[in-house]
Parts: sequence; C-alpha cells; structure tokens
Amino acid sequence: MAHPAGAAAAEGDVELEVQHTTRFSYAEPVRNSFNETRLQPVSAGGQERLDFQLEVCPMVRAGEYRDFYQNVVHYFEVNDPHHELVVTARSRVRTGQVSGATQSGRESLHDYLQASPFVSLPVDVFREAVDVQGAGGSAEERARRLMDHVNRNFVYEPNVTHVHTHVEEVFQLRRGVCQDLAHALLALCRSVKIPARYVSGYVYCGDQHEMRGAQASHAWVEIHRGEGGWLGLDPTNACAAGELHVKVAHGRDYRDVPPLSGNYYGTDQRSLRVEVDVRRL
Amino acid sequence: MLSRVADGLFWISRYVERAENLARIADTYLQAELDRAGSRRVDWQGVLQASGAVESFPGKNGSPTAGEVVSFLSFGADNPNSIAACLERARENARMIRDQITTEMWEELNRVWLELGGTAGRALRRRNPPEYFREVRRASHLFRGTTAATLSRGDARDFLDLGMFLERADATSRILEAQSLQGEGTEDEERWAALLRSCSARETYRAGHHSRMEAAGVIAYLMLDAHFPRSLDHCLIQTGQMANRLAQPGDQVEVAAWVLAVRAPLNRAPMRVGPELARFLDPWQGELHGLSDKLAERIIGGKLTLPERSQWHTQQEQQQQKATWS
Amino acid sequence: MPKAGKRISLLAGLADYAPRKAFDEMASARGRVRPLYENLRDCLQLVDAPRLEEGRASLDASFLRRGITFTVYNDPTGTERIFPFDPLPRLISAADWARIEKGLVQRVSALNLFLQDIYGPQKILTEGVLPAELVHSAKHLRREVAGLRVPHGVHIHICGTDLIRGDGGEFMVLEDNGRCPSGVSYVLENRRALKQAFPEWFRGHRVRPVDRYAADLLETLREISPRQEAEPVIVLLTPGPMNSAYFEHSFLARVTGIELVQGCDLFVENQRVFMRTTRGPRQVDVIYRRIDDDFLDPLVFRRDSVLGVPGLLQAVRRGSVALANAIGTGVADDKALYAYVPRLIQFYLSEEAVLPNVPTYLGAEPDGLKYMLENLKKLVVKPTNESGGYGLVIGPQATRKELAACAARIRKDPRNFIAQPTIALSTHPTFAERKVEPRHVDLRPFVLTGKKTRVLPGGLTRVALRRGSLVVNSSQGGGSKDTWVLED
Repeated sequence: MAHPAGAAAAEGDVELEVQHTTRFSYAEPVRNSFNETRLQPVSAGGQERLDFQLEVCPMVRAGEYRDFYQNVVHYFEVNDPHHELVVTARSRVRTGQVSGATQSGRESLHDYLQASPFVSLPVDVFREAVDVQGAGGSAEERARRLMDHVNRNFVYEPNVTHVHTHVEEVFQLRRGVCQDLAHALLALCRSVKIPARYVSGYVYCGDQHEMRGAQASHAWVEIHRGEGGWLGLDPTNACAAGELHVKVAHGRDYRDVPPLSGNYYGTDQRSLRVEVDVRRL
Repeated sequence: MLSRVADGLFWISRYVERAENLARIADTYLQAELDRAGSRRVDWQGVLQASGAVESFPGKNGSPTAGEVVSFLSFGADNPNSIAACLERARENARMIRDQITTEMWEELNRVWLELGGTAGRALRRRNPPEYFREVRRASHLFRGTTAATLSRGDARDFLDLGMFLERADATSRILEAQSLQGEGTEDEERWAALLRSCSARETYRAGHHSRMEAAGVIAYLMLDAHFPRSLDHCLIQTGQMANRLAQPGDQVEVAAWVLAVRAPLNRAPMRVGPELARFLDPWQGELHGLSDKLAERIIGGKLTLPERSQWHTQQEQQQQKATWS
Repeated sequence: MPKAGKRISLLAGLADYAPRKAFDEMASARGRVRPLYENLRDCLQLVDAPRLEEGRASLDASFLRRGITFTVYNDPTGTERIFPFDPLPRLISAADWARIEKGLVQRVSALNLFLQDIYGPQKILTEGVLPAELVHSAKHLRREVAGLRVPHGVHIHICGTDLIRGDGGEFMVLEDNGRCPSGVSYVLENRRALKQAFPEWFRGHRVRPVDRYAADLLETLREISPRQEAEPVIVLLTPGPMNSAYFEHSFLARVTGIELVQGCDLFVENQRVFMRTTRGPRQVDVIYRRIDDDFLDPLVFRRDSVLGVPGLLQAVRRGSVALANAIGTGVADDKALYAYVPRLIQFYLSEEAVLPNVPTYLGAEPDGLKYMLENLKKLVVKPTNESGGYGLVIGPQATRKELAACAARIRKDPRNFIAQPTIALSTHPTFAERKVEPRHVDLRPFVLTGKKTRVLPGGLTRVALRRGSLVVNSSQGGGSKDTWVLED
C-alpha cells in the first residue's frame, strides 16, 4: 500500500507528513469486524500524494477500490477475536498552488445541490442564506460570504455534537466541530444553488496552533464555480483551502467519507482514541 | 443442513420431551397423593426438584402443597420450564423453521399449543388434572408418531431424536435424584411403584422378570437397562448412535468418546436410594449437560458459534476528535 | 368467492355476460364470445352447479393444504390469508404471446444495458439522451456499486413486467419490477390446482406448460455463478417467516432444491460468503436474494439491518459471489424512468419498442408537473418509488380533500410523482357474488436472464375482485387467475 514519490519538489511547494492513528479498545474481545477507511490523500487539484501506507493491527490484508466519488477506499476484516483495533495511516503529500482541476467522478453536480443524509435544506436555512449572500455576485463571492458568516456566527466547540449530528441540530445549537460547520456551510450554499461538496482531510496548524482542527482530522467544503471548477473553503478557519490543507476524500456529506467505519460482533463497551499528527517537512 | 435449522429441530424435540416428562411427573405424584391419603405423604419439594423447578418456585418454605406445585409445573407464570412454556417454545421454534418440517408436524405443534398451552388448557387442568396431563403426553406421542410417519429419514429426524434422548436422560436422572433425596429406601413397594410409574416403567418392569419391587432392581432398571426406552443407558446408547450418524467422519471417534465418558460411570453408580445416589447423580447430570453442549457445538454448530443479532455493533470515527497526548 | 350452497349457473351467466366499457378478454359484446374463448365457453357450458362446487372444493383444499398464504400489511386480523383464486382461466393466443415475448425480451435487454451503463461509463447521460438529474435523484440509485462488474453484464435476472390491455385490446407496459418481483409461486400453484380441479378444461385446449420455470430459474442462477467448474452452491436469502412473501420464498427454494437461508445463516470471510452448516462453513456462489438492497449489508446500506450479511458487498465486489438480482436495479424500475424506456430501447438496441408504454406525465418535468396538477381528477397518480400499489391516488375516484392532499404532496416533491390517464384495464369473466361478471385484470409475466433469456409462458393474471376496482395487488385485496398461453 505504499506509493512511491513523484516529481522533485519545486520552489514554493509545501511538503506535509500526516500520521493518523485510530484505536478502538473493547471491554471484551470482539470478532468478525468489517471496516472501511478513507484515509488516502488524493493526487489532484494541486496536491500530489508522495507516499501512503496503511497499517492495521491485528495484521490483516486490506483490499482497495474507488467509490462513486472516486475516493480510494481500503477495506479489511478482522475475524478473529481481538481486544483492540488500531489503524494507522501515514502519508506524505506535496501541496502547491491549488488549481481548479479536480478528480472527475461519476457524480453530476446534482448530488451537490440536493439534500443528503446529514444535510437537509429547510426553509429557514434558505432564508438565512439569502440574507447573507446579499446582492449577489459570482458563486465564489457569495460562497465566501457564506463561509465568513458560518465562521462568525457558529462557535467552534468540541463535545457538544457527536458523529451523527444532523445539520438541523447544528443550526439550532450554532456550535460544533469542523464536521458540523462544514455541514452548515453546505446547507447554506446548496440552498442558494451553489453546488457544494464535503471534504475530509487534514490541516497543518503550525507550531503556534493558529488554525483550528489541528491534530485531528479536519473537514471543509468545496464549491463549484462553474467555469472555474472547484474551490475549497474552510469555514472553521475562514479561509480558502490552501497548501496547508491535505485533502483525502469528498462526497455529499460526512456519511460518504468517514475516515473509518465498520461493524463487529461483540460488546458495545468500547472506547475510541484518535491521534493525528501533521508535520511540515 | 443449516445450523440454525438443526438447532431448531433439536430444541423442538427437547421441549416436547420436557413437556411430556413434566406431565408424567406431575400426574404420577398427584395420583400417589390420592392413593395414600393418611399414610406416607408425597414430598412435593422433591417433585419440584425432579422437575428442576426449585429455583424459580416462589414459595421458599420447603413444603409446598400438591396444588401449588402442580399449578406451577403446568402454567406457572414464573416458571420458564412450565409445560405451557415448553409447548410455546416448541411451537415457536417450529414456526421459525416451518419450511423444514412437514405440514402435519407443524399442525400438530400448533394445535397442541392452542389447545393445551392457553386458556383452554388452563381450564382443563383445573377441571381435570389427570386428563390434562394425559393430553400432554398424548400430544407428545402424536408428535413423535407424526414425525415418524411424515418426515423422511435423514439428518432432520436424527436431530429430533438426538434432542429427545438427551432430554429424556436428563429427565430420568432428575427423577432418580429426587427420589434419592426423599430419604433412605426401605422395602416400600408403593414408593418403587410410583417411581417406576413416573418413568412409565411399571408394566415393563413387572413384565420383565422382576416380580418383587425392590430398590436395587428398580434403580438398575432405570439406569442400566439397555432396552427400556427411558433408561439412562438406553438414552445414551441412542444419543451415541445419532451423534455418530450426524458427526463428520473426522469427528466420529471423538464424539463417541464423549458419549462413552458419560455412560461408563453408570456402571459404578450406587444401586441404593439415598444420599449416595444423589451425590452420584448430581455431578453426573453436569456431565450430561456438558455432553449436550459439546455435541451442540460440534454437530449443530459445525464448530462455528452462532452469533446473536443483538450483539452486532457499528463503530465510526468522528470527523473532529480531540487528540490525546501521550 | 361465494359460499357453498349458492347455486351458480354458469350457463346462464355466460349467456348473460356483458362486457362493460373496457375491453373484455372473453366477450366482444353481450353473449358474443371471441374466437379465442369459444372452446372454453363450450367447456364451461358443461359445468353444472354440482360440478362447479366439486371443482371449487378441490381448489380450496389444494391451496389450504399447501399453505398458500400471504400476509397483508395493515390487516387488523393480522396474518395469513389464502390468496383468492378465481377458477376461470385467462387465455392468450399464440400470436399475441409471440409479440409479448418479443417485447419483453427487448425491454429487459434494454434495461440491463441501461444498468450496465449507469453503473459504468454513463454514456446515456453524457450523450444527453436522459436528463442526468433523473438518474442521480433516483431513490434507488446505489452509488456503492458504481464500477462493479456483474456476471455477463446482467443486473436483472428475474424481472416481472406488468402488462395491461387498453381499450382496443392492445397490450401495454404498465411498469417494470426489477428488484424482487413476486408472484411466480402463485402461477405455478394456480396451474397445478386448476389442473386437478377441472382437468377436462385442459383436455379441450393445448396449453403451454409452466412447470419449466423451476428448472429455468435454477439454470439461470447456475449460469451466473463465479465458480463454473463445480456444481455451484446457490441459496435463496429470505427476510424470514414474518415477510409477506415468505410462502413464495420457501416454495421456490423447495422446487429448485436450493437452500433457504436467512441473513444470520451466512457470514463473510476473506471476501467470500459462507453458510453455517452442521458440517462447518460452506462457501456460497450465488444468492437469489429476496431482500431489498437497503437491508443487504449493514456495513454499507442501512446500518440497523439485521436481515442482511455484513460484508456482503465486499464479496460481491471481489466477485466471489453473484447476487440475483444485482444490487442497484431499482433505478431501472423507478417510475420516473419508465417514461423514458422506449428511448432506452432506441439508444441501446436501435429498435422501436415492441410493447408501448402507457402515456405518462412526469412531475420531474415542468410540463408534466403542470399537466398533472391541472388534471388531477382525471389521472392516476403514483409515487415513483413505492410498490404494491401503496400511495396510489386514483383521480376519478378520489374526494376533493384527497385530491388536495395529493396535490400538496406533489408540489412538495414533484420528482417523486408520475401520473397516467386512467386506463380502463381489460376485464375478464370472474366469479362475483352470484354470477360471473367482468372484473379488471392485468398480467405479470416473468422474464429470466442469465446467459440467455427465458420467458415463462403467461404469468400471473391478477384480478381486482371488487366490482369496478382497478387495484389488483395481492396486498390490497386482489386475486389471481390461471393464465393460459395457447399453442398454435
């Protein structure tokens, strides 16, 4: 599962290294565990994946396929009883100028204008979006306004929401983590007919931890500018996705791209520990 | 055969057999009570014990009445092994594997449950207990007969028989244990007659060669007689045969050894009613249950454990997780 | 059916029999029987009341004994009922059938090519033949199987396409059922029961047999097995005895000799599917699944499903097991797509559709939506993704309140509705309270596709038992008839 390095680095390019470890611990041994991961960064849109390795403990072989949105998915099963499942992904990417080009999947823009499992388009969200987008302008201008709006009006706060929180609750709470803020921005954009998709990945936070989402997996949004292609917008940090962002996968919302998702037989007494480390080389 | 189906057949048979044995015990001792008004009373606590119902019986004063016990054994709400509960479970298992049993078998179990497991059954039991218990036994025999007449010989029959013989061995051993807890045996023909009757052995024993009713003979008969259908050894011999047919060729030797390990001690059992016999039978029953579990795992499960649906869980990682620092 | 003791005179009934406004299968006018039915009319005239009673008793016993029942949802009395059967057979001429068969094969081929395309290169979308939103908004589009290969490129192995006859007697396609079409067990049992009850009717005709279906189904399933060297291990995956079609599941398993399993009997290991047997795990090659996509694999689809097999999609992806029907066929029997099927036939086969569609208005199209809302009273409105007749609103029979509610539902989610003019389905003589009367019928033939396509002669003729009712579904009180395709 290792992928060799690509072309030599050019001036102005940023090289980032990511290590993402997910650890499930179970009170009693569990078995027949099937899991899928979306952890491999893309090579597209100004980002080049230099290396990727996936390690699973207990050691098993993983299969690979590309899903409907062309994300690379690794899948594996651990059938024997085990107390712990540890999944470690190590990647190295080079990010340069983010261009408009992007992966072409089988999806049409339709998917990014409709409601999706975590993102509905209720009337009050539409009204809010209309208010914020103001007089109009290009899709990019309007989307940026919406992004700023989310950044200012929603509070980044962990532990208020959970992995299955729906966007309607986020709009009520006006707080959440990157996943929730991204969902909120999706709802606003789609309400005013800006095609928008959910992006999962990482962000390099630097030594001073200026950017939020540091040391964890991160989520932001990509909007479609028509001729200009896709543009990444990060509502958590109120900026366009740039060379400090590492993109892994995109889809309609979180449901399409969970970093790790699975099932198993056994006890429901389990704990989860996630460690993400993003370094600049 | 699907493990789930084998498991269903196995348990249908066990529950039907269990219901029959409960009916037999209750009926025998109820009769005994009537026969002996004045003289030696029936120890109903002992009857509870024979039915494995002591734990769940609500009254704990150690001397329940006939009425209380009979009621508890047949329709006791707190009794997971009442006759009614067994009939219901047998039917439930049958419904789940309906396409694997014949229509006649299903109709029989359904009818029995409707007539004897519900309000009508309750009413009959109150009105005429011996009639009720007779009906339950008749239902069990009808089920066996229907099965013999309609279900082709093969694995399905063998799983049914396996369940029946294992359950029967368990029942007979409980009856013996309960008897042995009722005190040392004197030459009390009444008592041995009741014991034999509770195993439907009265006539065959007498017809055999035993004219006089005495403890050692009766015990030996019920434990060791190779031909009497309810004797422990006979049941185990049959169990061994079924297991041999059902097991995979590679497992047959091992399975036979398991059965033998449970049969062999019978020859060394004390042929005396009393605490000695109880002390022998109690652990022996444990061995029997162990045998049943092992056979189930190997022959029914095919060495695979059937996972329960309720144990199925999902796991997911949230997009934004708080990192912990090592 | 009328109770025993009421004497029905078939003779009088037939002489009096008058078709209503719709096309009647048997009679062209009062007392005038079509040539196709003359023979049958002669047979029926020989049936006196006692003979009729005898025959019906035989039918009742047949069905009851074999436990041919089904469960009706929303029925307060709860559970199993005998599926009502009307003894008067429905006839189809050899010529008519030849045309129908040709049209069905054509249609199913086109649908299969469509599915292969949609889950593959999507040429039909890139070339603009079909609006992309229509496909991408389809409720049953399964993005999870994009790019997946299926044996022989076939997705729909068992298809039940419903046909009706219009005013002039022309056969039209009402809808396709490419997910888990049911009813074939009734076809086989109806034939068996009728043969036993009224053998003399069969002697008067040359009826094409239907009992090849079991062998054909088995052959179809064999043909899609990934392992061709040995005898494939085939199972039928059922949700269990509580499912309304369980009778059919166990019936089909029995007549084809394949194992009937539930989700808990299977497990996936190393991307292969195994059965839990008393002799240990046994690898499975083909699963004839009668479970909806949503419940097939809790890892991928509905996470709360206990009916499916975790990891199944991985095994399908690896190609170690084949599913009949494949995952994702629902996009082909989406009722909004239905209107475009003639266009699909043109695109993939360069042919004109042999069997026409019923004229259809799509909520997804602005003109269609406008027409629907303006003409609700005259139309039959259907949600695009229900089955079994649920959610149907029949304009001419609905109250104003019901129509208003329907209009509101349409406006809320236009893409989810289509409307069709009320076609008076053809009628067929059927036993009613006291005599034989015309009742509306349709036809569901069954098409099997493995390496080759095989069509069951005839199919299930469903009859609406209530006078004037157009609803024929079993789950809503319809009944069935034996269908005879006559040899030349």
